[in-house]
Amino acid sequence: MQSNILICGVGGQGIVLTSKLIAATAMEHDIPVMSAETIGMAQKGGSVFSFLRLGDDIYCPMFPEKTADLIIGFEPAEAVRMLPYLKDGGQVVVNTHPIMPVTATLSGSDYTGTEMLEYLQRNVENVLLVDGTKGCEEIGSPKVLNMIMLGAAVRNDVLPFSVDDIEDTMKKTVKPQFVEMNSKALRYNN
Amino acid sequence: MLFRPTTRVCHGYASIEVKDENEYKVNRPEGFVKDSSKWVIFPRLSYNAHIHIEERNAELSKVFSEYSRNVILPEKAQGCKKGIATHGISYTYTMEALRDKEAPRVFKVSTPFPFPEQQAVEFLSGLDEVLCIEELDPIIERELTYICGKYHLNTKILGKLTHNVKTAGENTCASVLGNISAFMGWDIPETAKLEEAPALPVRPPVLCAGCPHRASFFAVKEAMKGKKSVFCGDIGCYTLGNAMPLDMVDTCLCMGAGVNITQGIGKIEPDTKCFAFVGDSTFFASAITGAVNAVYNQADMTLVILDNSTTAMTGHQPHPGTGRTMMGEVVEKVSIQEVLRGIGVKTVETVNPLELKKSVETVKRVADEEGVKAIVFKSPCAVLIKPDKPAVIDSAKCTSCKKCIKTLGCPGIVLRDGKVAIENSLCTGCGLCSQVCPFGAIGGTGNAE
Repeated sequence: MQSNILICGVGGQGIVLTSKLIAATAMEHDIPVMSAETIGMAQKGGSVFSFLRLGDDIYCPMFPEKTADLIIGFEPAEAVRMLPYLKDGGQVVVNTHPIMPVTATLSGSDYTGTEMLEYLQRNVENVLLVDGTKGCEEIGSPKVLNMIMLGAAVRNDVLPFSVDDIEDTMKKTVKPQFVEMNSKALRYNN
Repeated sequence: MLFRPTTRVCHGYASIEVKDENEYKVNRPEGFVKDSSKWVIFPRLSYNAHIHIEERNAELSKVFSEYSRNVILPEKAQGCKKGIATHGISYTYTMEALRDKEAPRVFKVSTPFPFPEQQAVEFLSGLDEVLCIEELDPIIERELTYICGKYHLNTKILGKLTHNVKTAGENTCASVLGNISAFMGWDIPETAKLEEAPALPVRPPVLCAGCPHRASFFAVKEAMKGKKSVFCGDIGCYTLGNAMPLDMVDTCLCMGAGVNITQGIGKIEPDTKCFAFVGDSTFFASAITGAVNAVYNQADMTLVILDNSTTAMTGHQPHPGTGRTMMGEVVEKVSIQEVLRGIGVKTVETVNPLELKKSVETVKRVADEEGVKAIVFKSPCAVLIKPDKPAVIDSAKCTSCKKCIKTLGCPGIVLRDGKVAIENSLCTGCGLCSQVCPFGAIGGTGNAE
């Protein structure tokens, strides 16, 4: 088994943490894992992506275009930006809430994300739209967006784990008082 | 031993097999043994040490030719007269590119210095052409070219120096596949093109919503309005102060350089108000000697310390001013203000940058003094503190003049349907925008005036 996963979005959305959680879960199941990500200045509202590879016989933490089994997009335009990496028949799970970059605010752009979502729906066979922001509001914290996105991806059977597996690793990572909230987010279904 | 990790090696991780503890060989250092003929570097010792190092390098080159991490992978393609020499992350791109292919011979160089010369001769034997795939300096390419000359080998060495591989920047799976395909004469299969994507928003990194650096830069900008001034930056989150609309970083070179560049500019532009911005962590690491030089050589400048009580850009590591070590021990804080006074800076003012009016007044007053003077803008990194309630826009008062957006460029202020709005998920309630709004339309924060 080999699987290539690309997680992308905007700095501050919890992307790196999500990939670390998948990596830790893979290790719990004795699946070799490699990952590489953008960090540093990119976390200040810039585009952030994380490559993850699970399975044997892998040399490199990055993978070429047209080879991702799964793209988890935390923001519509960021999912579109990384779409060339999706393999034919691959799955996209995307948050529908756009994030307006400061440059767009300054120039008075009217970016709403809608055309990005329409583009994804036109060009990808398997695309799952998730209203992550609504989920965050219902659960009560903007910080659970990553768990909502990850939960939605896992329930779509593109990762070799169950929601329970991810939950077990999450419990070891987050502070006890945040476990219940994150468990709820992993199972959030809109 | 020096490790030379390039690009992705520093940004990647992988699961590894770990041996049982008792399977590891433990080296216990013998401790410091006094021997002045060995540890005191007088000219005679450096002369002898140089001879020793040259002998050792030749010996190490032989050792490395047998080293298990320097590998020659035999060609899969029978009779192929081409080879690839590579290392590090580029080796992994190479192996991905050669997956399921009639691969040529590959030389993986794990120890580029001293170079495994004998093994390289073995690798080159019988090859017509070798492509070197590496990042940063073309070390393997130069070594192989030298070895070909030394051993009269008729192998053509290609790489960055021959423009077969791009000379700068990071290699990628795609770039390496392209380099190898061109070298081997392979066709890259065309894949079905996607429909052209809609125009994607550009996302340059910016200072976070609520970042105190934004307030500090804005205060200095306001105070120096209409005056000839120059703003030298340094390395940290605050380098992002160069972005529009703040536009407050005129130079940035390397850690600690800002305070020295400022002095140089002051010498050749005596009618200019010169500022050096440096973060608290960089101050301790690299800017104190520059500040001493400024005092000693009588510079005329304002040193602005952006003290957010952490090392934010690299992931909030502690530093001497935080009162905590990397190992978590609680220690006495080293005071930036006392260091500055100790080296002879007479004026050292400390102010909270989120108090805009007071900050602007402080900058105006301090910058007018002669000599070296310092302002410490002290306010914790917005990421580390519990945010206040987000700002609230009073739509009855807001005239949509957008001054808040145009002057601050804060990601917490957005336009919704042409109207100024607060992005509640980002706003920390720092209150800077409420002090900038000419109509008093932004409230709901503790710092509103």
